[in-house]
Amino acid sequence: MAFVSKRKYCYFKENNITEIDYKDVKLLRRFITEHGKIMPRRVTGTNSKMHRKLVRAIKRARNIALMPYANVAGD
Amino acid sequence: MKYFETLYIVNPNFEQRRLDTILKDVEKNVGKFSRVIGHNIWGKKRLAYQIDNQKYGTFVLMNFETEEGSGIAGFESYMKLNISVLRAQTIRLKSRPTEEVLEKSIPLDNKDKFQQSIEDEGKPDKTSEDSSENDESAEQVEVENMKEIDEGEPIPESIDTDTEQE
Repeated sequence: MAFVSKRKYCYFKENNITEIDYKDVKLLRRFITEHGKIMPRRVTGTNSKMHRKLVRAIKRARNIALMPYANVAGD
Repeated sequence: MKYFETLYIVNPNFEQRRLDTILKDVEKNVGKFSRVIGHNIWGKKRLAYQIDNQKYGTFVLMNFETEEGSGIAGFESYMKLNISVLRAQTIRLKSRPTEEVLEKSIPLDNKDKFQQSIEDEGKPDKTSEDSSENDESAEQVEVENMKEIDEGEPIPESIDTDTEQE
């Protein structure tokens, strides 16, 4: 039986999201690992343009303590 | 017209009156070079990491518009030097924020969860308690080290009780 991978898609394109707000932590949490690291777009399937916006939003959220820089405990 | 947005965190231990004076001061400073179009208090929220030994912070969102962006640098330095403000971040917006954003304070995501965590853990003053606990544990470690060094002289139990009382 051949291995069939789940097709990746851009979350933002599917939901017609053009701008990402750094205050929308609930959305941003989808794109970080349990340790707080930003997931690569080869994993998430986000397109290049939106990934750049996503990275900027996550870094802004980290700066203002809405999101963690590192989460060693994993909680 | 250029639109800006500043999100800043005020020390959570301040009472409402002091918070209001801080908000007025910030508004006054911004008013020198721009016009404030929205100033909302989000409320007390748990920080993702500690800032100045604070686990919680009062988040305040301010929107303002200006013709020139020349006063921004001065305002940012003012916010940085303000002791009451733990952290501040000013962002340039592409367009004027909607009235909904300006009038209403944006509901925090999983706000209930944060309130529960506040209730569970008690007041944000707990950081001082934690630090005292850490001190006690540090003292205990020191005592253990002392034991290892002075093997011949056993340390009386009264010392441990004293540290616990502290």
